[in-house]
Amino acid sequence: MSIQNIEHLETDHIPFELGPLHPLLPVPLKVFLELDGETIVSCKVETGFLRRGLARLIENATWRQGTVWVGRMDSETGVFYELAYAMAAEKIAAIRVSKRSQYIRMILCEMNRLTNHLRYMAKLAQVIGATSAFHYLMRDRERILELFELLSGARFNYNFIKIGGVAQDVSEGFVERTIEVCEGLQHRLNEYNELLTLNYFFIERLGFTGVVFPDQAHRYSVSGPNLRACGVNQDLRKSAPYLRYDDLVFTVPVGAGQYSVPGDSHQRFLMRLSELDQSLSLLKQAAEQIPAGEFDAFFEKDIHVPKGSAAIAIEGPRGEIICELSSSGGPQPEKIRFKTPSQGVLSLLTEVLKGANLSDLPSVLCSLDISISEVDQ
Amino acid sequence: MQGTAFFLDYFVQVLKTFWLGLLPFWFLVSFVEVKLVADLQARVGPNQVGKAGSGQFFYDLLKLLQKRSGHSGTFKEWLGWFAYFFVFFATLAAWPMHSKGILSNSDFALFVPLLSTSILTLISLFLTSQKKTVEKTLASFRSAGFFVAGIFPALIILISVGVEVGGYQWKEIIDQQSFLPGSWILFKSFPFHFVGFFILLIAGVFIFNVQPVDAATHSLDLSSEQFPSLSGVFLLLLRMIRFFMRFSWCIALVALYLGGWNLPHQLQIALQQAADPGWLIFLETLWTFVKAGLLSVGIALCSHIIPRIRIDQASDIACRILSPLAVLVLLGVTLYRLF
Repeated sequence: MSIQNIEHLETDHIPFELGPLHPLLPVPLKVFLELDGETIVSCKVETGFLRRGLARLIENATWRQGTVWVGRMDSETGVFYELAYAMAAEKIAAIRVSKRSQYIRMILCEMNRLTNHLRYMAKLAQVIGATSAFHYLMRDRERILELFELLSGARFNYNFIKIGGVAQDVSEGFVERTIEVCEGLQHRLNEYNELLTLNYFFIERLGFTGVVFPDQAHRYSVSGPNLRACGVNQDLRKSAPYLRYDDLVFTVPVGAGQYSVPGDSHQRFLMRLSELDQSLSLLKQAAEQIPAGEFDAFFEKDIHVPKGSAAIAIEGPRGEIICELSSSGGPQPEKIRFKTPSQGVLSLLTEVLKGANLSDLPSVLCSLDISISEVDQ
Repeated sequence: MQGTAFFLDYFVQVLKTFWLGLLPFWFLVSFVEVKLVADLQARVGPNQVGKAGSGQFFYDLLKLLQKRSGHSGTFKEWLGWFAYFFVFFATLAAWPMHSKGILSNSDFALFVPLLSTSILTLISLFLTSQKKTVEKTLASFRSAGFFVAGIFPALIILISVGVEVGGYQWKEIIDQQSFLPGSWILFKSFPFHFVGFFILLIAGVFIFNVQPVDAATHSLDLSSEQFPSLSGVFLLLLRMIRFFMRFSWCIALVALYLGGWNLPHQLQIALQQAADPGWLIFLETLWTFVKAGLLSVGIALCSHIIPRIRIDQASDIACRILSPLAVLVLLGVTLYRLF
């Protein structure tokens, strides 16, 4: 065969099944791949391995019990689901939440965003073999979890945001400790930059892999840092402010393609790193500006939510969380439905993985930050 | 009779080196490695068994020895294991550990490490390509890919050392150096050998699939390891072989560039004149192992910071950076020697 004909040489495609539990996969998921050598030709995804029927469980629980279940939508970012549920119920019942409670909620949200982004970066570092960075990031995440423990007594599944307010006021020394932790972590960001962002091998592994284009992202309802990494400036905290975000000063980081191209795995990592900086600043501002006054929470056994329905959209660490809630005026929610950010990203997988190298599968999956708990509910 | 005596002597030497030299150093290097890496990663590291976790190595060893292997061991696999050990033991006596221990100090001696690694890679290919799963087949091809990426620059650098010394015998190379760093080949024909040292080091990391160039065997890059079903004694053997491969490469680097077994001149003369060569062998081997151990720990520390690279990236580095640089080193050394 002449050298010109080598291009026309074809090899058989290899079917390759992974999951649902597999070291290559960050979440319980079944992936059907078709490989041409080490290149992924096509990809199909099967989910449902973590299905718990949470919506039904919430609908069968009372309004107060519901706050416990919503946090289980995703234990890593549970605060946001508690907030979305509480805000939707408050909208139907026209409950006004005090300014202090709103600031406490905002502090909780930013702390939760920090823990999620630190975990994300740690996981990504581990997946591509930067094990030292993994330990540094997890150590810093521990400081935020300690703050959570100081405030709510729990490190996960906080059950802290209640309909009408929060479970309790901030504990003594919490604000001072929060400011101290924020200042400490701000210095660590430079270290992460040097250790990961500017590392030649790190850029080589993540740059130009798993590229998501803005039109693709819109088609699959991708939101949050994954969308902003494509260069789209969209953040609900800025475009449709809730809680007291309009009192705080912050800018929305957008992927500009430094070191690689907008929308690739490296940009998604950079976006989280920028958001860490942003969240630390927001957390510090919120802790410094927290107003004096009463916090408020309803401790009655049965909360009365009148007939009606509401939809609330908030900016979670993975993207937009939409909670649609309706009440028949009874002791339980009539219908609840969550639109979670991971649902869109999971649908996008089939397109993103096409043409990728098999070795990049874990890093691309990790960089998209899919929570299967959110998807399977 | 003479042949039998030679082989007996050979085996005694191999066993002595293995039990008295390599096994204690496996423990020492592993212990220093885990403690330093833990310190680097702001962890405590193993601290439960023995003082400062010094017993952890033996605890793990005993645990693996007691564990069921869960491995049927087909004829081909046993053959593969036997070949692994045969190659390892056959080359052990040719390693430059002390001045009295090289049995085959021929012009070919310098290339023995490369030959043995080639055989090991072929065995690895043979073992894994027989598996009818996608990941094992890919693993074997990746191993071969890394080997091909590293072998060319390594070969060129070995030739450049030969050009510097004027021969390819271990003894010749080490005798041209001394205890003091100023006489090491690393600093001769500066900066060519200095660059050559790092090329050979990286090429070795490629050839042996050592972290961070371990995409051929890493579970997260390949869905499962090259030897996924191994546990118990078989896993212990695999770990041992992988450590010894890295350590052996470090011994070669020490001999080629870092003064080899050379002790301080006065001490070496005194020991050579002594009736019993035991102390000379012991101290020379110890000094070689200490240097190789430090090098091995250095590689381990770097590998915990640098992210793992893909096989195509490794080939790219080998083709675009290592190989042209190796050729430049060879040309540079040749011109340096000529003029």
